[in-house]
Parts: sequence; structure tokens; C-alpha cells
Amino acid sequence: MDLNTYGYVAAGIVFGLGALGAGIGNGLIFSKTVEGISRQPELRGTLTATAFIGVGLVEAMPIISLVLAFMWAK
Amino acid sequence: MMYDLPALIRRTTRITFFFLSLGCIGLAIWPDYKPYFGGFMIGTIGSLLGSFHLAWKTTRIADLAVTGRKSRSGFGYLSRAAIGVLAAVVSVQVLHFNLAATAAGILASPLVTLLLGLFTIRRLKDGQSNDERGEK
Repeated sequence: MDLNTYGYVAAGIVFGLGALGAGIGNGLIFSKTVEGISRQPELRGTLTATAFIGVGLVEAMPIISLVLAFMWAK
Repeated sequence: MMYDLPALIRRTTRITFFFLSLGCIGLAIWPDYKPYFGGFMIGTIGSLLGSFHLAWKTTRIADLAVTGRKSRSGFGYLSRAAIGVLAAVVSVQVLHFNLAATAAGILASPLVTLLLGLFTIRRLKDGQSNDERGEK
């Protein structure tokens, strides 16, 4: 394998692991949010805002990893 | 109650626009650093669009949870990732800006959201007012 192939493999691993972490994190956050809203609908504003903060942070890293992977693999 | 999603989005938009204006000022003052300021601005715009999309999706999922309807909609991660990639490709391939600055711009809006959320939680714990009109 030459260096370009290693680059493609590295980009795939970077984005794959980033997406895996984001998927697990998003699933946990949204499951707890939906559970909380179902139990106490009056807390909907607080829970959605907290979920928004959490998901925004969880997703920032995989999106950046995706961008870097695309750029490095070209 | 002020600790809700629309207020958070409004504040995030305001502060992100402040970062964008800083980028414009930097671009005007130091034209030699155009790849860095330009990349940061394009990334910031992309992250702001992603934040709007995330807020829409979160509201939609909360609506579904309240009404009890079943829907097969996802969280929209692929759309937000595509927005990020589009911002990076436009910034680096088309406009020839700096990639690291673009990645920093993509991180801007989530960081603003985190800091605003932490400040809001701290203010609510202290029992202080959280908006301009004195409401909590």
C-alpha cells in the first residue's frame, strides 16, 4: 500500500470513530430528553435547551473530523 | 421562563454574528491574513446554519414526545455533517481559504452555545434574573 491508500484508510477510521461516538452520544441525550418530556411535559423548554447544548457539543467534533478526513484524503 | 430554546438560539445567533463582524473587521484591517479570516467566517456561517437545523430538529422531537405521535424521523446528523463539509469545500477548494481556520469557525457556534448554557444554568442556580426585563 502506498501513502495515499494509508491516507484514505486513516480518513475512514477518523470519520467512522467520530460518527460512532456521535451516534451513541446523540442516542443517549435524545432518549433521556424524550423520557423526561414524557414524564413532565411542563419542563419541555428546559429539557430541549439542555438537549440542544449537549447535542451541539457532541456533534461538533465528528463534523470537524469529517471535514478534516475529506481534506486529508483528497 | 427564559431558559428555553428560542432564547438560546437568539443569543447564540447574536454572539455568532459578533464573531462574524470581528472576522470582517480583521479582514479589512489585515488583508494579508485573508485566508484565515475568510475561512473562519465561512466556517462560522456553516456552524450557525447547523445550529438552526439542530434547533428545528430538537423542537420537532420534543413536539413528537409531547403529542405521543410516532414518526420515523432521524436527528439530522447527516444533514449537519453535509453542511459542514459544504462549508469546508467552498472555503478551501473554491475560495482557497485556510482549512484549520474553517474548522475553528465550524467549532464556534457549539462553543458559544455551551458557554451560554453554562452561564444560564449558573444564573438560574444563583436565583438571578436571566433576561433584560427581569423575568426568570
